[in-house]
Amino acid sequence: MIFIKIIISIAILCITSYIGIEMAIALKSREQILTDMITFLKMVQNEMVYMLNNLPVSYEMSRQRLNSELKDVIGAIVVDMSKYGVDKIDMSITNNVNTLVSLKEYDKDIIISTLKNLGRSDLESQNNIIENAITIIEKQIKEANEVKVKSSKVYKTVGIISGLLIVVIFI
Amino acid sequence: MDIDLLFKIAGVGILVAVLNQVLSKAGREDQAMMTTLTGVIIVLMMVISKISELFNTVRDTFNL
Repeated sequence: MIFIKIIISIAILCITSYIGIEMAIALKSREQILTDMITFLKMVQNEMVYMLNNLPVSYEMSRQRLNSELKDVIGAIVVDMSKYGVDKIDMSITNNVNTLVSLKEYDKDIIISTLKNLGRSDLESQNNIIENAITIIEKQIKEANEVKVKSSKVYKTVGIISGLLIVVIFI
Repeated sequence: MDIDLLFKIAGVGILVAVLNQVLSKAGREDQAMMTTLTGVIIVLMMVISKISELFNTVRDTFNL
């Protein structure tokens, strides 16, 4: 009987700690995706301005250097771009970016609006769009970093202590 | 009286105090207060039957 109680206690503690750690990792993931987005935009800018590549090629070349979930999202957008053309992928951009669950709504809105506006004007305007997006995303990264530093330790600790509380109260 | 109840109450108290400190240090005073209140309610629920027993005993002893 006591053996079963110990096993259940350890299981509850592991589950609650895992939930706390997952929430902490999601904060880290947000910062990583935003940093990758800046890398992506800078590389697209280089591809368009210096290599004079078109948008699908620029996206495909730039996404190869990414490390996060953003790489797959951009890949899906490139596939849809080849199928339907640059002008008709607004739904695809919205749907694919919304799969990035670590990002806040505001982050997603900036990424969606930037990706929708690229490919619809001349080179200089697109350059300006990219520069503006980079400035805004850099501020978001700063905020994400502050939230990560403040909250990730809290989530991990709260996860472990909640598990201990449940064990003490019920077992 | 079951000694396990005392250990449970002590355990809940210590863990709630630690959680309170962690949340206060992280700047979440509202959540820290909610945690403390929740801890108090949980402990009260744990001892309510004993309190009821106490009142019944007092009533029987003094024929009230």
